[in-house]
Amino acid sequence: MKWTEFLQNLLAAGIARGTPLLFAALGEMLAELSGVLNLGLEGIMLASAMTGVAAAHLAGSAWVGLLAAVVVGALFGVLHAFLTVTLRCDQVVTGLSLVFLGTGISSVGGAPLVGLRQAAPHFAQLPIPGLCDLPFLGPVLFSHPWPVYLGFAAVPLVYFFLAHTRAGLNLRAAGETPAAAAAMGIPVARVRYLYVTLGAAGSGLAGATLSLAVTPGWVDGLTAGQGWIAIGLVIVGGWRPLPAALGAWLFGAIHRLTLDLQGTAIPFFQDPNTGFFLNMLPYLAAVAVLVAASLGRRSGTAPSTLGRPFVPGTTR
Amino acid sequence: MDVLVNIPPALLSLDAICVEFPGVLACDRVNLALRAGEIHALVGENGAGKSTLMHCAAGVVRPTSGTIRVGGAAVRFASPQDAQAAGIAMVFQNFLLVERLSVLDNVILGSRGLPPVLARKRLASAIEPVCTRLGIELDWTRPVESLSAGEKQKVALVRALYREAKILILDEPTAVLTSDESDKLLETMRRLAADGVAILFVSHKLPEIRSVADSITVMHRGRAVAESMPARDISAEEVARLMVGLRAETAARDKREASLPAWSGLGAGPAAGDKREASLPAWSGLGAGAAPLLRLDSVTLRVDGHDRLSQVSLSLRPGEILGIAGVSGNGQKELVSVCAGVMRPTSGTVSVRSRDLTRRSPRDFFEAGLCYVSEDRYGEASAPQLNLADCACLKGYRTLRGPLPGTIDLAAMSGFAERILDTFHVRHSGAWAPTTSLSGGNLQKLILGRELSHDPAVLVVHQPTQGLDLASTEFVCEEIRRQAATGTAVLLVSSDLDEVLRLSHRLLVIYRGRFVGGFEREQIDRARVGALMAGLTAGTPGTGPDEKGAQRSRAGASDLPPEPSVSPRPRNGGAS
Repeated sequence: MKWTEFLQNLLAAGIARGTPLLFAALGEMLAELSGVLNLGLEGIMLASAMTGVAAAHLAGSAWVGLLAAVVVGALFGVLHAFLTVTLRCDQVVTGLSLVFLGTGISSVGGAPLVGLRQAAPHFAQLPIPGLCDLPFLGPVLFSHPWPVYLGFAAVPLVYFFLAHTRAGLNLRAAGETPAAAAAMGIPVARVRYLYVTLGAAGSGLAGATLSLAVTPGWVDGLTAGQGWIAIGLVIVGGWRPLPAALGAWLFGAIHRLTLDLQGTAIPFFQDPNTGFFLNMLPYLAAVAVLVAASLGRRSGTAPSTLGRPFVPGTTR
Repeated sequence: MDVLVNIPPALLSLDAICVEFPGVLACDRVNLALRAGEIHALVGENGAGKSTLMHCAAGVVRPTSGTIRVGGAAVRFASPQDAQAAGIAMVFQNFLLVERLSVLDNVILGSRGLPPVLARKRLASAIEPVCTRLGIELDWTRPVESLSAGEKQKVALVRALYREAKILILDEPTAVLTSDESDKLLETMRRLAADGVAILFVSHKLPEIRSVADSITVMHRGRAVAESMPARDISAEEVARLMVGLRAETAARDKREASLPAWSGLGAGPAAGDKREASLPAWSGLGAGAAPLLRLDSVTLRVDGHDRLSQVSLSLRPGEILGIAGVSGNGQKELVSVCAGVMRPTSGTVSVRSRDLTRRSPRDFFEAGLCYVSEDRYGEASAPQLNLADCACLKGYRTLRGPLPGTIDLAAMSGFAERILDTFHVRHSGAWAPTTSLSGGNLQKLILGRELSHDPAVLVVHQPTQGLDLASTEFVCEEIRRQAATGTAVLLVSSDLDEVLRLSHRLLVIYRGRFVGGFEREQIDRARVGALMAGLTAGTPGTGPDEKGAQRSRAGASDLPPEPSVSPRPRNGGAS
């Protein structure tokens, strides 16, 4: 295999596999910037990935599957918002319970779906005419299922939204200093509901992208920790869309690299007693990047009131 | 400034406002009338109900009964937004700004008619006229967290006026400002009033009230004891008497009156100052020959590559009160932190009672006999979530051992706490009540009481009376004085110059982390101290003065003699 071909495949796969991470991370970013930590991403992604396959199978349409997945994600978001914003429950505990809930739902509901791999409709590659014929860049950037292109668009859109719109300003104010935002007429609770829901819908989209486009089909535990990695990406990216996106694609590539190395003739990776080290690679990389990021930059870019409920009428 | 007398309906009137909180009648049938172009001072002790009344007018609190009228029409505010829509804006004591956002974003946040996509340049130019009108310059792109308290207040003012506020409510606007910033604020208030804006402001500072207020409402225990009185019809003594009500002890009141400038006596400043100084006994000279109790030698503290303290030396003798004067933010926080062992100096040594404790823990400092009253009442000095007994025993808990190892004797603990609460007249509802139930003044008494209960050899106090009412202030100052008289060495760090001048036997001026001047009590020259605080004569031109400093330099006097000595330790003075 030629060197450039290897790199081309690696990058193309990285971008495709990174897209679910990207959606989940961008969604989580919105929720966190509004002041609510949602640790339930893994469960939400699993539940929506399963729902996506099931709905696509039943309706015979991948689009219906995608829609159902996003709705399920949003429902999780509404639940999280109700618990953390209205009832002011502990956000960490609530988020973790969502992981268990989502994992359980996906296992139970997904049991009949295992092995349907080819039967369920899914999103096929959608090469962009003209651009996909470019050397190197064509296969890397322009020969993907459409959700990957949506991922490309989402990054600048979220950036613009946060930095240059009224709604983005309200969002950040609600997460930074809810008392000040409330005094200026921002309905903090409503803002938080909205973005927790929207953020969880992002996880729903991530799950659907995974099970309907990137690796079509359902197996139990399909996400394999990607929900957690997405949370890490938000932190590593310093709550900024572009760094988070780059991280998502990087992790996608590392994921692919694992598979590539398994296919090589290196005996260490072939030995069944040591080969599993390779499967640890994405997670080791996640740990390494988190450590490097926390060493390299002073912490403190997290939204000031992240994780704390807002009680109207308080000014401290 | 004259009252605009003949404008018939008040712009804002509060009629028979009652606010009831669980167990407390915070406002009891209070009336207040505010006219266009009028500056109205709301005066009263902590907990008198001023804040509650203002919060009613600003839509933050809903009155239990009573009517709020704007321009004669009765209104009912369900939220601060309703009040804003009626032209009422409140500048909160802590400003309520979003620290991480830029100045511009804070001003436009939530304003009506904000377009969905923000064209920030155009928005900024729309706000410029407001700034021009106020005589304020702001850098729109700076994050608010990088601004000084005075600048933040400007942002809050601009934000209010950008919303076309006709009625401005200011909650203790000068409490966190330097005297220089205060003067500028008062000037801005006059300008606004001349423009027809009605201003209601809360203050404890009678001189500033005298200088700007057209009328005064005095509150005591939830009732208005003087309602919308024209300022010229009421004397400072009268206001002081009214605000402390009948509970103030006669002796304390007399002392206070002596120290208050007469209401309309323009040249009363220096005379009053003399009286105040006369009330302080000279340093007893107890330990003139003794070794210093607290000693800092060439202490430098570097944080994030900046020298917060550079080559600072001081030594404290038994029984003396050493005052540190300076505009806040010039290293005071770092100085007290180093003195109390909370921060470790980058270089130099700190010793308490001749023991070198430079790199030791705050516990070692405490055990060496040093007690520390932090300015951060709700963070460093107390734990607001705990109850009063817990807070009273935060430092002394080791002496309250229970029967089993690792336990605390609760009976002894509550006894200890009760003793402090009683001795220091903390108005409270039981030792097991939450700390948040105390007003600021009472909490400060508890904190001071806790520290003094350990009979310290060295007492470090930082901003001990900030935000306190007159009676509490007097109490705290008296306790500090009394403690010094027993031989305790006191380091008093405060940005309230009057307080420092009044209490100190010796004075050092801190500017940008350095001591730029030292005075024995009899040499103290208020003008010189003020100039040094502003960095005028001892300014270090090479370091690139920040804009605050530059503004002050421009504003201040410039014909001062050069600073003679930076040595902080003349050993002879006061030892008579």
